[in-house]
Amino acid sequence: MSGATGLVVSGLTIGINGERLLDGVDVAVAEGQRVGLVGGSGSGKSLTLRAVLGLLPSHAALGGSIRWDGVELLGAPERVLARVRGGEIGIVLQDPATALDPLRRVGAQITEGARRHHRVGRAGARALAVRLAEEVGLPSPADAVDRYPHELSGGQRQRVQIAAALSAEPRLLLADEPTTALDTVVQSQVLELLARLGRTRGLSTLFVTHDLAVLRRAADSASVLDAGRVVEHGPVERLLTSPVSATARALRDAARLTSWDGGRP
Amino acid sequence: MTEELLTATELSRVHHGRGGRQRVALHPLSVALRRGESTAVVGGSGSGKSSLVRLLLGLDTPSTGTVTTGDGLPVTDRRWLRRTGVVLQDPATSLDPRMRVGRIVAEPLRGFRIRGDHDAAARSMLDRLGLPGDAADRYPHEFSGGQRQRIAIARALVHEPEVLVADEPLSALDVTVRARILTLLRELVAERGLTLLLVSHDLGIVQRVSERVLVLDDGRLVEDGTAQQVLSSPRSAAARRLVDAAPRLG
Repeated sequence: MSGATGLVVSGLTIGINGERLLDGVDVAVAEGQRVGLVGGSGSGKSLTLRAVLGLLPSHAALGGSIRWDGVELLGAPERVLARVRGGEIGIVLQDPATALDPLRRVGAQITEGARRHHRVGRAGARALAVRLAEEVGLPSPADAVDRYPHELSGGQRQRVQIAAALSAEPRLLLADEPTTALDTVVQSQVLELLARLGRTRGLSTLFVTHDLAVLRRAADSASVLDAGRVVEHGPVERLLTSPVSATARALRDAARLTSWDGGRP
Repeated sequence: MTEELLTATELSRVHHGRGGRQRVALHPLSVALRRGESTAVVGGSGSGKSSLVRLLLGLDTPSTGTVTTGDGLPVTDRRWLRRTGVVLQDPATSLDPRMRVGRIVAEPLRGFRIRGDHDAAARSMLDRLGLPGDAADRYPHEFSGGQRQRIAIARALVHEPEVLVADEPLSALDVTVRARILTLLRELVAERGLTLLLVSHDLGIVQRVSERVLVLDDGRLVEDGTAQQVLSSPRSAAARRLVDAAPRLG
């Protein structure tokens, strides 16, 4: 459980245009762990996720450290980032409608990671696309891979995004509010899919959300962010039952006010 | 006796595609909305929720059937529109980027020629929605997505409508903001007798503001009952699916 394998973010600071947006954030995701980052709008949770993949504006001022399997990613050459990004670490974004290319078939988008990182050939790519489409639960996988994104529902497009993230066989999946744009039934199915992939593939996840009811199904432990700082960290159940920080309490209280309570009168 | 505010009779909507293909967005249904009764329309994506609401608002023409108000007015009549507020999905795109927020929010007051201090009314409503004090003087692009959504809600409420029709008004909001707006809607329903027609797939929201629930599935009205009954002992498979899928805290 040391910092040798997996992701270790320590003392991460990010400033953009003189404004400090992240201030000494520590997050670690060891092999097989499911970790959450929770906070309100503008708390810095998505920014942390983007920083891991080096997806920040070039004028961002960065400090601290982001280590992946002991290798420093912060300031690493593009060649190192290119191997990790979409290869060993995959990402799933909130809005599948904008994350997919509308002009390319689903199958080609699913296998892009595999072709880039593992030199999979054309015939192999198609077989892989169908296999991944099946694994993420797309209906009629052999047909689905020949379709375009607009021919799929929002939930199916999110499954495509997940399949695409899996194709390079990542060990860590970064998920940025991947179920927020979905209706609750589809949301529940996607959360179940992510949980299953964690078990069957031993995939670790770093899951960003503002919703504690969703967090509960997506992570075992979580860090609570407020204004760019980690204000609390602990097991998700503990954050729900006895939050210590004001931020975690506010999130819990808001979730209690708005979440489904099982139909109690 | 409860007064019927809006009555839909044998309402349906069929879309015609290429080569004579048809897609039924809404099978014929009849439903009446009663004054002061807060009603939710629930269902998964593509179940016909938004189609129904667009027809009820007169934004789309039904393939069969009619929608009339309690006074027998068509839903496009100005006197009826004056009594309604509307928040559609993705309201952020409905804000004119060239207008200051105060002017955007006051638009219904100007449009319906309502007397009074429009600017003050707009500022007061923005404040109730928790937007910063100088919000009225700024432009839409200076706000986050959730804030823009709240601006659209302020515009829908500024002329104190009797009926608010809201299509997933809270789904894009942060949880803390969501709790705040939910509390405001509950107050308006309980204290001002606002009749709320809410479209949502989020049962946590529905259980807190709605007395009556209509369940749509694949363009059909499959259940219509009190929120208590539909949410605690759903009869339709669609309502059971929603209940089972709703994320819970404990």
